[in-house]
Amino acid sequence: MSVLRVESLKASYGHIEVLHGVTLEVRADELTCLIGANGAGKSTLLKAVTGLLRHVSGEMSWDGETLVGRPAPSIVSRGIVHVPEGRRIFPRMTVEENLRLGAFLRRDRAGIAQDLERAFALFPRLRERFGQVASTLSGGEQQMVAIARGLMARPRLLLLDEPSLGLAPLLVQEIFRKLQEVHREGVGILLVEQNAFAALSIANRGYVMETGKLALGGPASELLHDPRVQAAYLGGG
Amino acid sequence: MLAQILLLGVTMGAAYALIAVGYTMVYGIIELINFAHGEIYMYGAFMCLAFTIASTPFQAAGAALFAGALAWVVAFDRMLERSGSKPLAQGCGLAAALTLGLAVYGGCLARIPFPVSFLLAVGLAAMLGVAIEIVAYRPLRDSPRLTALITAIGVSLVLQNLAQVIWSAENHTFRKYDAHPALFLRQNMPEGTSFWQTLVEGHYLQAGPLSMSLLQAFILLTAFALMLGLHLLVTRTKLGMAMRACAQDQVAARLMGIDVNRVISITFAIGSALGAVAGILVGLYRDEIKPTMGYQAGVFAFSAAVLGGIGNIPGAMVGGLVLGVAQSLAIYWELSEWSTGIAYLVMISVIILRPAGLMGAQLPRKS
Repeated sequence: MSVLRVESLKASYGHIEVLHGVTLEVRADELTCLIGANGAGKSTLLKAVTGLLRHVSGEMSWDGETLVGRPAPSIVSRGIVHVPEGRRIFPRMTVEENLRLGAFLRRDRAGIAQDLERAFALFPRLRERFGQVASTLSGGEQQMVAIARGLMARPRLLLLDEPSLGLAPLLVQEIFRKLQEVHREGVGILLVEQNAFAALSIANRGYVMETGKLALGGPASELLHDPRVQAAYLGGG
Repeated sequence: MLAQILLLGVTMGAAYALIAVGYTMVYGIIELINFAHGEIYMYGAFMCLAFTIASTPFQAAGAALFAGALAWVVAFDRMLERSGSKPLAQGCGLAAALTLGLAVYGGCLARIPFPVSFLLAVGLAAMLGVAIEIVAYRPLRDSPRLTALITAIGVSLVLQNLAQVIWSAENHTFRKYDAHPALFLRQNMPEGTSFWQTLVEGHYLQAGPLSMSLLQAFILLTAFALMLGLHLLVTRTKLGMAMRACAQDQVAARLMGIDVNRVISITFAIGSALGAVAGILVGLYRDEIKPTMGYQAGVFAFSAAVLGGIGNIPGAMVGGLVLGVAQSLAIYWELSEWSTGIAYLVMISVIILRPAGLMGAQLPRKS
């Protein structure tokens, strides 16, 4: 069983340190969520793992192999795939091209065709939108493309950054149900969310981040009832 | 008569289009106007000339040093990316520089048949484009765009002056080159006919009232074949898809596993190779090769790229043709001294009426 281990990870943008030593574990058989306020460093953590940041120190490993200093393509080829904040689909390409780009590093045509079918089974709407230019899709459909594109790489661990951003509550529910489905099919998930209640409700394990550090961590059901979490993120008291 | 002149316009337009494609591809992917592109066009012509016509030892050494430096930069960068080991990359760069430097030195002194020189020159120009990006533009990728733009102008001036040092500022020509007739697939060529005469002066192809030289036909054919090839590459292949992905969102492209630096290098290589092809063909056609030839051609081709919609490859092709035809019409109306002005007039009118260019996306205005 693969585990993503992050130990005393520090990361900075220029001279400003954003992560001040983060330690956590993400198991590939679990749905883990990472919650926290805006600017806590959640996205930075994902970018550090997937090789988008240059100034990173500390240790990150996957399957016992270090990930520090590896460029983004080599992280993807190891089965860790990042669905970025704001979806970042390719706006002037069709849905099909977006999905095929998700499988960029793969050479098994038959497997790609099979995964395309699986993506359509997961998001039937995308089959209808197959030849449509991505920028003309609705926000929810664009999020579906982003997730499906990530799955096309056949990940073992999918990192999702705020998939609920800017979506109507009903759509958020639908997207989260799909994530559970993906998880049941055997893909590990690390879900970064501001929508703490929704994220903790579907997760096995949760972490809470505050200003560049982990504040809490544990089984999601416990965090959901933790008075500190309720006070800070769930609007309870 | 009009048809004949339009044919001339289409020929020049096809050459402009070949150059314009290089501007537009680079702009599309890194949003930079590569002002050094005209110099790549010029170097293509000079390198081809240097191989076909006997060079002086000084010229040969200059060309060899220049080519060696390019080889060092490109080999070092690729090896460093691949292995991550600096000493290995340095060794590789040194080996590549020595090999290519010696080959170019020998080639310049030995005189190589034109078709081979042509391909070698195009390859070297592609390398020049890649090396310029690595040395001058890549370190500035996150700086303000104006910085990179001014750097591009600087690179252009340095290259132009370097060419002047190596080959002097005078006009050079392929006329001195006597090729073996067999190279050009003509059996019945009169004794002593030179290469240039064969291509340009002799042997007109006739089609009804139209006639064109072998060279003109060759320019048209090559330009259209290359542009068709480029179009297929960009729209149909995986590499083309990666290029478009990098043009639209580089971060997302990296998350797909695309090696963005490599794709940018390939883009520069392709654009530069096409520019060099145009440089050699126009150098033959106009019968003049000089260090400043890249400036004017570059300005026209850049106008063509803007005319068609900068960043848009089919647009650059259309823009080049429109500009070439506009210039030939100027000649038809006996305004040949105005032909440059007319080219600009066309460009300015199009930009006023359609700011995104002929084929550019019509984006809503920013308020």
